[in-house]
Amino acid sequence: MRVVLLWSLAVLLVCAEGPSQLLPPEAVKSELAVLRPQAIVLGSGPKEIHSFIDPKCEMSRRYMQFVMGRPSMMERYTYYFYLYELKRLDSEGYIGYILESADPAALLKSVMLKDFHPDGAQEFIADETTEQRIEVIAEAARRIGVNKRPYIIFNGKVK
Amino acid sequence: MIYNRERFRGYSEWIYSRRWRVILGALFLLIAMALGSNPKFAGNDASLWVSGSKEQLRNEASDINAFHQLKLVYRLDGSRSFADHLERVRELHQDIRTVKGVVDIRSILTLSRPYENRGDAGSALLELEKLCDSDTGRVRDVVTRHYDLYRPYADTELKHFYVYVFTDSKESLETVRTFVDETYTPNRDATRSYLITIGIVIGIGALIFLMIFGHVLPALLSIIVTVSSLVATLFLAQRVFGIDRIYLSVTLLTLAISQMDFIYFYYRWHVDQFKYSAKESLHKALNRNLEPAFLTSVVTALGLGSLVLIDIPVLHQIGVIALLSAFLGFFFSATLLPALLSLFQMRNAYVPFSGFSRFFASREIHYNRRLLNLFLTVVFVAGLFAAYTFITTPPKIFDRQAHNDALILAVPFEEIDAPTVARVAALEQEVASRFQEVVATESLHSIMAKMAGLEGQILNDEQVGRYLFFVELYGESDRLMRDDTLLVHIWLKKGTEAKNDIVAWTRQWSDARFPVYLADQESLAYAAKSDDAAIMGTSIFSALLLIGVIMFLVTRKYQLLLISWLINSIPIVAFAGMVIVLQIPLSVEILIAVTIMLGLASDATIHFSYKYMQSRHYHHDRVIALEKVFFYAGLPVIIGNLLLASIFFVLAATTVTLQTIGYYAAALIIVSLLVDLFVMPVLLLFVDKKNALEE
Repeated sequence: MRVVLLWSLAVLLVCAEGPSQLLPPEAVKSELAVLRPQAIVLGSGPKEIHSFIDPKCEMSRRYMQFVMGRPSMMERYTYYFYLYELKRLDSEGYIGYILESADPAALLKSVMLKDFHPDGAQEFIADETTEQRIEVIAEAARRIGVNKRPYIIFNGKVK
Repeated sequence: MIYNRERFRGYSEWIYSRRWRVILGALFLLIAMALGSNPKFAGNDASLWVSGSKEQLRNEASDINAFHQLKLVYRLDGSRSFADHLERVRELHQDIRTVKGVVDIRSILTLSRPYENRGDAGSALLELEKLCDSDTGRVRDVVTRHYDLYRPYADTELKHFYVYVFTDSKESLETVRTFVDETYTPNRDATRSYLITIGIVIGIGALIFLMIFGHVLPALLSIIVTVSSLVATLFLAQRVFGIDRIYLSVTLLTLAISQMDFIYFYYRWHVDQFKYSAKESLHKALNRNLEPAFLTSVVTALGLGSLVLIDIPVLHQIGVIALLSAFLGFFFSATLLPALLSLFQMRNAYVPFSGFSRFFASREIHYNRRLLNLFLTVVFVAGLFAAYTFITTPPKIFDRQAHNDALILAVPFEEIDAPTVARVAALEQEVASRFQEVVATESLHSIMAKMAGLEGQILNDEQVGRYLFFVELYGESDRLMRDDTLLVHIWLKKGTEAKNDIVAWTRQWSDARFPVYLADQESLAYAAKSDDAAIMGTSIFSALLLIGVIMFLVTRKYQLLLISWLINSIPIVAFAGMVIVLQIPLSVEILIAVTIMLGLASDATIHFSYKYMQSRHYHHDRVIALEKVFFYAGLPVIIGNLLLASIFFVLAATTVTLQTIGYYAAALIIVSLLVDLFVMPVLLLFVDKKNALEE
């Protein structure tokens, strides 16, 4: 009974807490500066929006819909998307599949906006380079304190 | 000069001998003019004020377009369930969105309420909730719990929903109206409605002439002279003065002026055939009326035509139309009309109201001097009070009640940064704290502050950048920004009278702190009226003075100058008093109605005075002289004024565009007529008692 109560409280705490940030903004900016090459980039504006997303996450997809639905913002913002799995969604295969594709940006949009399920994406096993890439993103995310998707960072701060 | 009653016989002989040439020449000229002009007609009051106004020009210089707005009130009666009502409101939104030119719709269904999603998905995405797709229970729950946010769009008991529609054109607004009122038909074609109006005027005029003179001829001739004046006026207004957009109600000036010219000439020709032949009657009509008619044309042209010099579009146009109508009305009455009259004769000429002249003359000769002094004193004091009120507190006479309860301000920006947003925040907070009538405000700052949970606080650069992203992401920026400005929406209490106070305050703020623009048409109209009130009053007053001065220059009698001022002022003072006491909204219709009245009153003054001076020269007895005045000048005034009052009254009852001007003009004309019949003769007798009018 005690275990059940504690577990419920943990769930409530997890659900109730907002997005966390374990590093100060300047440190986050430094992390992202190093992490940038691992991102899928959209837009060409002077302001940067760094987002950790899971391609199978419903809210991440909603976020992507908003982004793609405002083409005028692409001139004002550059979006850096880091694919970071939400464990319960088991999306590691999808992430590897997208990152290894010929055009990751296009495939990401198809998956997230058109609910496209490429054959073999779920079971896909990424090569070593891609695995490293995924791990680099994950480590940075853990250091920053990414606990939500989409996790949107503007100027070193989450919302 | 005035006593030579045969000075123009040569001219009348000339017209008589060349009548067909005159008629055909006029016909060709009019056809050419009709084919050579294609003016557009407009009939909207707000645009009359806004166009060319100081605030509108300021907006245009900064490429800012003001919204047109409409407030729809949806009543949730007991005939349907709440869910059904909600569904109807949703359908209304869908219908309105199909109208081209609709920029924004604000209601409980479209308000974006920021909240943070703490659901199981674990999203860090900021959410904006809109109730448009929510179920009935959710709508009721959210609106009730967060009523402060939804206050502008619903009453506390959810018995009424208020939907604000913002468009970028008047035409779009008219189309939206058809969705809420199935009987409402947008007035798309002002030209067509104008022609219908002209038809009504002609019909009424013809009927009245038939009743008064017992013959169809005056009706036909009146139509010819009026239409001729109108065609020529519109042609010259467009080709010489460059006016392509004619305000519907302003052309009623042409109608009024040309009718009075016609009536004086025709009446004399008609009644003289009781004793003389048709040809001799024509000579008399021309000889007796050419000079006073010319004088009235000069007085009207110079007095009212002086408005041409004013740099306000509506006043400028009134001046142009008055100037052209004065001369063209005289021209056609002095050329085409006599040429046409020469083709006819009136057997058994019927003299309408002939008994009245003796009745008035015999009564008014025994006027009460004390009563006259008392009356003049009251008028003088009332006039001072009206002038003082008008000059010192002009907003009092404007439309106090806001029709739409919403006000939009625009703050220009070069970059959306913390200082820019702080300026908007300062403006918003100051308006809300200074005016208790403000129910809610919304701007980019207030939305971002709500998102950040920092309501009432100033955001720093970093916060502005962050939440601006979310505002843009959710597509809210379109309704919070426009034309490189940040918009501040202000909602006021229902039926408030504070809107123009806020407009006035905003303009002061703009001068003192930082530029703020009025971004809705109603506010621009308030500002324009406020700016133009003093000029309007001054211009009418100047026209009044000028008419008197011209009277003096022509007649060299200072008494007639004073009489002219007095007679023309009394109706204006009476009407101004009514406007102030009853708080009748000031509108261009009032201005045009006053202008028409001034034109008619100065006409009557000149004809009365001219005829009285002439009659006194030939008749020692003042009663007989006065009787002549009433018969030859007074009766035409009665006929003309009653005719015009009837026409304006019928216009008011049958048309929407001219409703206001119809009632005002009819009322002013009646008052002017009473003054002409009861006050002017008494004043003429008063100054004549001292033999001042005889040479």
